[in-house]
Amino acid sequence: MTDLLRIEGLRIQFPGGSQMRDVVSEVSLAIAPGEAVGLVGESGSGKSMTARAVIRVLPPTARVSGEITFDGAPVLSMASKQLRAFRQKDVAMIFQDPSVHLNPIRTILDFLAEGMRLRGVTGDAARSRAKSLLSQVLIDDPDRVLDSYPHQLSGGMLQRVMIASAIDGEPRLLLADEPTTALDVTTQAEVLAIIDRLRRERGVGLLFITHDLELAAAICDRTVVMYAGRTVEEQGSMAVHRAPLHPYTAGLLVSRPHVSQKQARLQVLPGRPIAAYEAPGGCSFAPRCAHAQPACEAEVPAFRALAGGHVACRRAEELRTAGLLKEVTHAES
Amino acid sequence: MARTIIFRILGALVTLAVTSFVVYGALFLAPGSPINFLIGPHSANPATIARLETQYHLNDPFFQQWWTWVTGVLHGDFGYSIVARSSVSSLIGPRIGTTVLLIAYAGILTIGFGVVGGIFSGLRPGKIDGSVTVLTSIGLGVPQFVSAVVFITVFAVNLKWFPTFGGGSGFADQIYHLTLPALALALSGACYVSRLTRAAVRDETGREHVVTARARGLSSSAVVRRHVLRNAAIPVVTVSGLTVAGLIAGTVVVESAFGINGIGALLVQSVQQSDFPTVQAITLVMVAAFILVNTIVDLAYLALDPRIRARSAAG
Amino acid sequence: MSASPVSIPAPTQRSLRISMKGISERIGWGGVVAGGVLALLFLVAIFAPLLAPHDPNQVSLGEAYASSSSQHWLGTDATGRDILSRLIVGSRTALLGPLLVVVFATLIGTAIAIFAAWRGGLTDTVAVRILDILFAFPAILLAILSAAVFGAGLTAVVLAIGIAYIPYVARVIRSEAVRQRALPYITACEAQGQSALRVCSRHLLPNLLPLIIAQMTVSFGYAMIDLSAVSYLGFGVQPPTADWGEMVANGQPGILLGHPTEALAASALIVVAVLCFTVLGQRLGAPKERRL
Repeated sequence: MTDLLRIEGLRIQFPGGSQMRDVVSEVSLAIAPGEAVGLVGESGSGKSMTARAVIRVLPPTARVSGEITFDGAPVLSMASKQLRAFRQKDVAMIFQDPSVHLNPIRTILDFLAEGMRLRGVTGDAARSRAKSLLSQVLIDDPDRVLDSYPHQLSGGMLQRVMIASAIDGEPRLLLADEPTTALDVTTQAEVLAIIDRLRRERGVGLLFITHDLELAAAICDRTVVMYAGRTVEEQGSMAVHRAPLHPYTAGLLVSRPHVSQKQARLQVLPGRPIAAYEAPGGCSFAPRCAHAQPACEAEVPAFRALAGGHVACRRAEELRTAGLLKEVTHAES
Repeated sequence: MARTIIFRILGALVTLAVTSFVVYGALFLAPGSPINFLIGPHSANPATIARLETQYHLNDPFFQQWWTWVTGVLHGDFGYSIVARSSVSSLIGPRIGTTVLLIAYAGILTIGFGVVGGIFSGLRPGKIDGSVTVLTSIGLGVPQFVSAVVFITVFAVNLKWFPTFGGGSGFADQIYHLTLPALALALSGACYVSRLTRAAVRDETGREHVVTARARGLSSSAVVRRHVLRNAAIPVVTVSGLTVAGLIAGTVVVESAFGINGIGALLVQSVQQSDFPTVQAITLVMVAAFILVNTIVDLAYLALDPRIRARSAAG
Repeated sequence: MSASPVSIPAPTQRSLRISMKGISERIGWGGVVAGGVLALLFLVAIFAPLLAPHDPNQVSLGEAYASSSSQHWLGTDATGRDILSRLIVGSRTALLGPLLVVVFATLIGTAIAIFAAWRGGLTDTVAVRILDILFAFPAILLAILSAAVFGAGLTAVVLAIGIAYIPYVARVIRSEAVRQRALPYITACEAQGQSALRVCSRHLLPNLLPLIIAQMTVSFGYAMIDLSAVSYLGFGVQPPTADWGEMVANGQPGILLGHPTEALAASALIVVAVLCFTVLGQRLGAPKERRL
């Protein structure tokens, strides 16, 4: 079976000072048709840039190399006409802050109809289709919303509009870049439920970007973890929780508060997250890793198969057998 | 919305009333008595003095005098010029067409060069954009009389492409004669509009909603047209309008520099000849035109930006 | 620590000792060059009588329109006066006029701005409306009107343009003052029971100062444009006193006779000076908005 989306050795650089700086150094992942994959990392790890590279909306100064294929077709070498067709039919993206992602001087109807016009739907047909899309994202008063401007609606409402517009083209792949981070906690759950339901109903592949491992596990079949512009671990979402393969993932899991387990003191990852261009030679996590050895800093560890997943850590087997990573994870709750 | 429009128009009327008060009241700030000031160095027989006193209602209370003057102006009666020995309207009437044509010509040049140049350099960063930016920042600070003098030197005297003097007669000849004056009048404003347009286009191109539009597969021309230019139009229309309003006062300088027989040059001439009724009339006409254009720009801004519209409807 | 009440430091209070490096980092090399040129111009204006090689008003009809020579570097004008000397001496009125305009407009404009921002409410609304009305008068028209009433001359014209500049200064300063008024350091001063006058003069004004200086610098350039235009029309500096704007007018007939030096040299100096004021002002942080 061919993968719906395949990213291999993706590297994204931006000019910084006199030379090009890595924002993403080496990202590889694959999404099967209808599969949901979570891409997890701290801010600055390059996850949003990865999603933007897939749909090719990075700023013009960015230099992208590596391979991205959609249904076997290379995305990075698409000509503009092909690229437009790809964006119109195959893929859609939802962004973090909907209030800046909608043109402030155009109505919601105008926004939705603009996408429909590309498929030849106009006039009254566009309006009634827009209404039905809005009811699919659980908006009760579509008429009022359609005639509103973005500044008149709440963030949760705008994100539903973005989702409605995303599913309008019946895409096979949905890129969701932290779609709930900018929303209120109560709205977050509603929006997540809408995304989850729609993608299951329609069998859409999903790349779900988040900094929250648990959120990724709740929504996604598999989870990919990024650190400093590199993929460091990939596993089924449940397995990531039970048995993380990379010390960084293990660190993320313990560094969040847990209701079921009152701890005297929250464990934290020492140090701060770094950007790809700040990464030292060798394993970029080594300076913060409790299990680092001098050899870890010698060369970049390969991203290799292990225990049904993939990991980029020299000592992965060793740590796994010794139970060093399991030890620090939470008891299943 | 309707309330806001009425409010803006009322505001403009109040401003107009106050400025007319200042223009008329200036007569009474002058050293000496108003009637002596009006006559100035010119000889006047008692009959003229009596007529002027009636004309200016100088024996009425000040407020009533002002009111008489303003209502006269509204009926097209701008008073009597002692110097020209004719009504001020008959001085302004034949000249105002030239001035309006000059402003319109310069306005088209300002908006044309400014907006087109600004869009071009805003959409295509690079070497050309860089040199346009340097040139416009220099052009921005060139006073209109300086551009007039430089254009006369280069294009009229040295290259002999255009006449050095006068306004011409007949439409085509007028346009030919007014080309250098219009360019001189427009230069600094065009540079300003161009810089602002460039900044607005840059600003909008970098917005996240433009990323959304690209991500959904719109063609780049549709993205530019529907999202970049439409949004940039709000500040650009405002600034273009205000810049064109600013050209009105500039005609005084440019008409004098090129010896064009419009109301701007007439204003200068009237000050030199102490023809105060004409000075008052032209000042009032220019200020009124300035206020009118500003008000139109205000209303256009309201029509273009739904955010302001909504706020003013709510408040 | 003494028992004095806690004071919240104002956000932009900086040390007054400024190093050269600090300046160039703040305003960039463009700002340094512009500032250098302006400093030179002011020095020339101050020492003009010592620098001018000739008496600027020495008429010598036999030498009319003399071309450049070791005697007259830039040649002479229609009445044989030395152009270079007139440019050097003319820098005095060319700089003094705008300086007076800017100082006048800034003093009154800042006072109105701070008063309106401090009192807020109705006072602020009324102040804004009055400023709006003042906006309706283009500076050059007000200057011409005042020349018509009080006669041509620098004093009346400077006063008129100064009045026309008040709303531009006041608007910029007011919006920043309104913003600062809402900041915690001002509220803290009020909570301590300091008088309004003291808070405004000791806390608010110092924090507005960088913006005021930047705005003054930019306005200086625009005032130069307007004042030289008025002198060009013959209503400002009166002949035979040398002034750049007056020299452009005086030299204009020469252009047709093939002697453009006087008009072009004076024009060039005006453009350079205005450009330097604009660049420096913007580097100092003046808003990009231009007076129209």
